[in-house]
Amino acid sequence: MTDRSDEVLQGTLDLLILKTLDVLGEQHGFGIARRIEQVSADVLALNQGTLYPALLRLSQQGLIASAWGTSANNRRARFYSLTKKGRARLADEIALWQRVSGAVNNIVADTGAAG
Amino acid sequence: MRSLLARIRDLFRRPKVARDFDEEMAFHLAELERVQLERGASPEEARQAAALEFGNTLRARENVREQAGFASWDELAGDVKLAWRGILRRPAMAGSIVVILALGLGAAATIHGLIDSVFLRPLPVPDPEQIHAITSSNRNDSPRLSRGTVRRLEEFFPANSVAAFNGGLRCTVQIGSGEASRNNTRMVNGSFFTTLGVSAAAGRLLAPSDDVPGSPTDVAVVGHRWAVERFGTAAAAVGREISVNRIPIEIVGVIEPRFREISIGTKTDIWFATALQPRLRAYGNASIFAGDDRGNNADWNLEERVSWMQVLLRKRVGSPPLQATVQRAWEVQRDDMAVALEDPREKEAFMHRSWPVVPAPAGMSHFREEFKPTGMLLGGVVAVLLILVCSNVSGLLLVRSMSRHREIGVRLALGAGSLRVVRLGFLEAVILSGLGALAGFVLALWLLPATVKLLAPGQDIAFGLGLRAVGFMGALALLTAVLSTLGPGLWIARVEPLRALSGNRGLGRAPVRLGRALVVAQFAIAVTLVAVATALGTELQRSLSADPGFEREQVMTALFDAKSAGYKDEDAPAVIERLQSAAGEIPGVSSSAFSVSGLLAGSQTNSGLSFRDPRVNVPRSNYQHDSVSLEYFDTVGMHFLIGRKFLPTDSATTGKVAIVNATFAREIFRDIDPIGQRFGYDATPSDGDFTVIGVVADARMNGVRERPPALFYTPAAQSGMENLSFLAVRFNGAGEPILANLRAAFAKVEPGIVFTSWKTLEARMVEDLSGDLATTKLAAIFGGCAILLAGAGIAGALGYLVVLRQRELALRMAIGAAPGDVQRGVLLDALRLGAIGGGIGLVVIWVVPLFPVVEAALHGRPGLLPAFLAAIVALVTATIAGWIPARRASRIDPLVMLKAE
Repeated sequence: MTDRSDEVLQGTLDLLILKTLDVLGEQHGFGIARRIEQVSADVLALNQGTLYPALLRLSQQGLIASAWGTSANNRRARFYSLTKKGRARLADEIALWQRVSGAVNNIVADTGAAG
Repeated sequence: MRSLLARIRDLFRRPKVARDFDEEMAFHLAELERVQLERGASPEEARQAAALEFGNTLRARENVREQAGFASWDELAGDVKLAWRGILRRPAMAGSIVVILALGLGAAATIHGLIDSVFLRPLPVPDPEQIHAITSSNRNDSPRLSRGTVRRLEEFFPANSVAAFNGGLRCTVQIGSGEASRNNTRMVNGSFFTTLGVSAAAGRLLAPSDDVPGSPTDVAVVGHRWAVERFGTAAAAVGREISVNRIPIEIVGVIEPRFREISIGTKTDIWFATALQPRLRAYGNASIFAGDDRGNNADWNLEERVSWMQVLLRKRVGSPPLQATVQRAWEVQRDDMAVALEDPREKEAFMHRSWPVVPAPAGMSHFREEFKPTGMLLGGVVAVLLILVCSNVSGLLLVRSMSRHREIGVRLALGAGSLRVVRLGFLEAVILSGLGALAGFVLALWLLPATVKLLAPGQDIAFGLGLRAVGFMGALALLTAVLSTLGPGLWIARVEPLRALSGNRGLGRAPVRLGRALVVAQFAIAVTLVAVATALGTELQRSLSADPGFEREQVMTALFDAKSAGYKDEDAPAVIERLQSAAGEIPGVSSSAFSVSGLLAGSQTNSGLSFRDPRVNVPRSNYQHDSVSLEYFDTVGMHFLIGRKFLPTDSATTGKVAIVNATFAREIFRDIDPIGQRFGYDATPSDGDFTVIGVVADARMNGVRERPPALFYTPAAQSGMENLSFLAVRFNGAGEPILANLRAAFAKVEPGIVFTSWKTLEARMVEDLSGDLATTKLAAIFGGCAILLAGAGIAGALGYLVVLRQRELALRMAIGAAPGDVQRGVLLDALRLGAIGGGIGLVVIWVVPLFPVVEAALHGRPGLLPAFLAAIVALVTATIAGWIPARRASRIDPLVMLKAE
């Protein structure tokens, strides 16, 4: 957690978690990791352990809430859900992501024809 | 913000966070395994795949832990533990650092406490920041106004905004038929206590209804301490009748204990309303303007031309502008006085007088001004002491770091940043200075009362170490820690881990230079302090042994006040006569005499004079005056220069005569013959003019250190016996039996008169210098501390230099240098450092007194002789302090030393 690339990943990870919780509603850590891998068609293979510090950070920021519950196969698990504040943040993050990724796309697609 | 709070919350329930995570992780891994098993993997494969997918579990847990707290906080807590362990490992060195710090910080806290209680502490009243004082635009005048001006201020300002008081009054007080005593009292206006917001511990305080000019109520309120001393409890004092200057006065209330005075240093027992002034016959402590056009009213409450009230204002909501309103109240008084001014220039200056109003949350005090040089001097000495403490502790910490170079090398090699290693040292210093500050605080608690007693004997000062002192100590301790870590920190920053690990200090010359600088600095400071302390001492000795202009040993003196014993003005000649003949009957008494102001008695009268000879020089407008009985000059042993002394023929019916002192004659008459010169109080020649009949040598009557004033004497037979209040008795032999006999004889003939302040003139001189004596004592004590510190520091630092040079010395001995050579070399090195330090000290002593403040505090410049002596002391110290390390150096076994490489 000392180098820069980690930070970038962290920012993206937050977005992924928020978005996943937005789609799935209440979900435990395993479910979130699983969902991210499935939707991204295994392109984003998470080091799943890194999920938990991010979840703790997001709860500290008040963007998600957590509660202990029972999983589908009847085990005790911690379920996370998006808060109102988290939902607002998600909208901001998505807008930001689209702006940045659009810009990056433009640069990557630049053929030197314009300008 | 919220996330910070959440983080802090999680920090405190970190064990729970960790437990939660463990459970989550277990669940997660189990789910991963389950998925693998569903895909048909064997249990072993499933576990491995799950672990792979989850990643490093330890790392994840560590990250969660970190997120639940502050990484640096954790690190810090660890470092504090480490630092504490480091301290415990070398208890002797830690102990000596704490002792040194306690000494320095204790001294600093003591002086801070003293300065705080004298200069900074606000009055113990509600909202002291609202209190303002009326001051005088002319620094030399005390800011006194007439009672009429105070009355107008009371009208112009909202209720309870004006607190006026006179400069104090010594009264003869008697309770029942008990022994009479002299007490300090004050007269205040009716709204004095309500303005300040002081409340009563028992009974009531004064009110405007007590303060009606012409019809005062005969009541007083008294200070809490005095009430308890005299009556047992505050409540017991209320309703009691006491006799003040022979007038029966009822005590109606006792002031709350925390309020003692508006002015620091003064002790006031009894408080009256100003309306009582004519009843108490209080005619002192005032600026009296005597015009030719009319006489002054004896009731000063009704007289604009007598200024005797000082004023504190409380600025309330809705107060008119302070400055302009004061000016408006003053104008009536000003115009009333200006009518009688004849000299147009004097009148012009008078019309332009103004009364600046300044914030005065601490009240006002004469003592504060007096104490300023002492406070500054002591502050300076303590600052120097603190510098010494820092350099000493710094040296010790440096030695400590050096001796741990291998450990530091290991830490650096293992990847601790050098900042972290420096921080470890800093933490140690912080812990040590915290302990030192604690010990110093305890020391100060014990030192402060003694110091106040020593420096301000007889002054009533509320002192103590409050929150501010705690803050001050904390800041000082932290500063000490920072300053003492600078040197070692610099060193650590230069350590190269690998070389340090190999046991090689390999640091170049930097630490050696640093060590030398420390030694030189300590020498310089020690020399300066010794020189200043000796300079103070010798100067004081000189002041005491200089001829004061009077006989000091065989003259017993005392103060008295016949008027406050109930005598009328016309009784005075008979009273003086009775006292004189009673004294004359005592064997051993050769003569006795009286005067108004006396010698070193804290009293003086000044008057403006006009001279009749157009040739004379008039350098000032005010001349000191004393009225004396026959034989006064002979009794106190003043040298008569020319002309004749006062004779019994100089009486109320003959022409008025005066004797001037040498300064007066020199300043006014210069080379004109003073005998026969005439001067008077009026602007034009009149019957009241004085003729000069003689010149007497100067005497230091106001203060041993003060230059004698230009002064003229008149015979009491002509200027009135009623104000004589200083008694001088010339005697032979021992003082004690004479004193006992005098007291007994006077008690017999005048039982109602209280004689106070029985002292020989010698004792008056010592008393006059007591403040300086105390300062000198304290400076000497602190100077002594500083020199001890410097000595210890020098020995330590020299030892450290030898340690640094061990390799070099060993090499030298290995190639044939004799141990004696090495010893001599080290000693010479110490001597050289001592000489440089001493030299710097000499320069400092030469430069520092060029600053006026220092010169005022030292009463002149320290001589070069004490400085040279101090420099020699420094050299001797260097020799002694260098001896031990030099011996140690010569005993180094070169083989052992070099093998350690």
